[in-house]
Amino acid sequence: MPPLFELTDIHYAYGKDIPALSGVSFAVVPGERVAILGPNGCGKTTLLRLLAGLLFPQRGSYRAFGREITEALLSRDPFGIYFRKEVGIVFQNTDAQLFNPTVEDEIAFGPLQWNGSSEAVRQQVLESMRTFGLRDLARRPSFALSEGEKKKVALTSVLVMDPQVLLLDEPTAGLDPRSSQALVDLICEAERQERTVLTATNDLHIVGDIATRVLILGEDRRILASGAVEEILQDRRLLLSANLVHSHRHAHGDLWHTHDHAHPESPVHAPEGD
Amino acid sequence: MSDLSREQAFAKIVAARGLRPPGRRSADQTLRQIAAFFSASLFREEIARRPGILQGVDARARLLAALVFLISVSLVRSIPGLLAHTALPLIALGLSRIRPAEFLRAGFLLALAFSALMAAPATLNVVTQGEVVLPLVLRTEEWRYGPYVLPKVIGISREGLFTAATFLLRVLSSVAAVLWLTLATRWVDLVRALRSLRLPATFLQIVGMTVRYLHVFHRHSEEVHLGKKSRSVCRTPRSAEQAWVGSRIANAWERGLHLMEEVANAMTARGFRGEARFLPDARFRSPEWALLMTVALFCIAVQFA
Repeated sequence: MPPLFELTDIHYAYGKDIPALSGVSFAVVPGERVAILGPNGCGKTTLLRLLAGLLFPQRGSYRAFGREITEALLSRDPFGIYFRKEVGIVFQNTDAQLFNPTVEDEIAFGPLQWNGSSEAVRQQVLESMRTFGLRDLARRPSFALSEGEKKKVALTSVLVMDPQVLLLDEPTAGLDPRSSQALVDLICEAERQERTVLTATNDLHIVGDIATRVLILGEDRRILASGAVEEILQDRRLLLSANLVHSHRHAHGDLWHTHDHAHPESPVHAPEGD
Repeated sequence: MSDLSREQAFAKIVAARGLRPPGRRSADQTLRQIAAFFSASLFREEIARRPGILQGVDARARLLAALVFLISVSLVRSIPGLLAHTALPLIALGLSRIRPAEFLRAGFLLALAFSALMAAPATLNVVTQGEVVLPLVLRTEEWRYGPYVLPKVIGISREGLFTAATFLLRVLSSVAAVLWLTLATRWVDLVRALRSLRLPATFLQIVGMTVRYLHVFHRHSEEVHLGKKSRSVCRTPRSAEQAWVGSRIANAWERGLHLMEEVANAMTARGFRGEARFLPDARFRSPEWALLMTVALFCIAVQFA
């Protein structure tokens, strides 16, 4: 199957002296579910924004939907419109994503840009709010939403456009366990609809639910490893070196244990007695 | 070391260094007042959520009714007509369950005081010539200087009273109508209602986003202030306080620029190409038509009475 996205030797830096990606290469096929892991500052957000066509590499090549993606190409209709409709990104910072006065306006924003009929958009918005349980929040202003509700609205406002691809930047960051699980359920539902989903996260405990493949970005902003979820998450040495888990010792009475774990609880928990 | 001895040891350090508790500084109070202003005025939602009869009417109808009312107020010439116009928004306030104290504090009292102050000189016959009904100063003779005349009797004239009363009532009824509209309507609904006036879509989108992000910066500045306060162990010089406030203003500006870029990216990612678009508004129902008809008929009746 030809890849949907293909990145070859991508380099990106903010300004002159803040490198963000250094020689990243990988491909994603349609329908694939990928988790992008890595410590803070390794370039996960930059990579997602590059995939969304919001940033463009300073070196290297980014191909999507069979075309070389450049700033000039995306600003030319109709491919630019097609790309924006088919590639949806949910930002980590909900304040940046929720810029409309009410929830209903927020969800309607995307479809209104490319759908000719306002009445059709209204129906689409109503249906989305019903599907995602947001009808009661329709007229609520964004500032009156909890963090979990904001994330849900942000995700809905992208899914309403029915994109082929979903890019999620730390979707569960700052959420309580129940809200986090609710969001994961929404993501899994999106995946069941055969969308291609790439999720950047530090949260190891959701990776098994939302991905089949893992990409690890290292602190040197290159790809450290790539492979199936089970294979990657069982590799303790890899996770330690990638700063995705940490190792500490603590005492149970006279007995000392060394544990590796991420926070919150992760599938990697391999106690080694001393 | 016990808690008490620990405290005593610290007290010695404080005394030796001449440290004083942070106290309440002017910067602290100013920020609190600004936050209170935003909370009380711009972000007031509680009144708009009350189950008043008029809160249930679409904001567009309320806006149009207020505009019709304001036009009518500017055309009325008679005192009874203006009195009637002043009564209508006061009735609307009651139907919207807005308490008198809230209404007065929201600016009506200030408008009343300021208007009375401005209208007072107009009551004198030296400003508005006419029949003196209440003499204040009796002079022996008239005084002339060029086009200016100071009459023998200076006092409140009938025509002056009429002019001042007209001005006062016109201002108060206009202010009452605007206050009713803004108190009983959420800001997001009011901005949405402005679309019915066919204002430029881009302008309305900017206004809507401004209201949205004022909340973000309000919350951020409160948190920054509390964060600093939580680590302010002792009093610092006023110059240091002012420098801190200045640095936070600059920091807020920088954050604003960064957030602006983020928002632009988020808009672009969802297909925005520079043209503001909105969902169509719902049609007016009978409550909206009832309000508009009531206000329109009232205004017409008063004009021709």
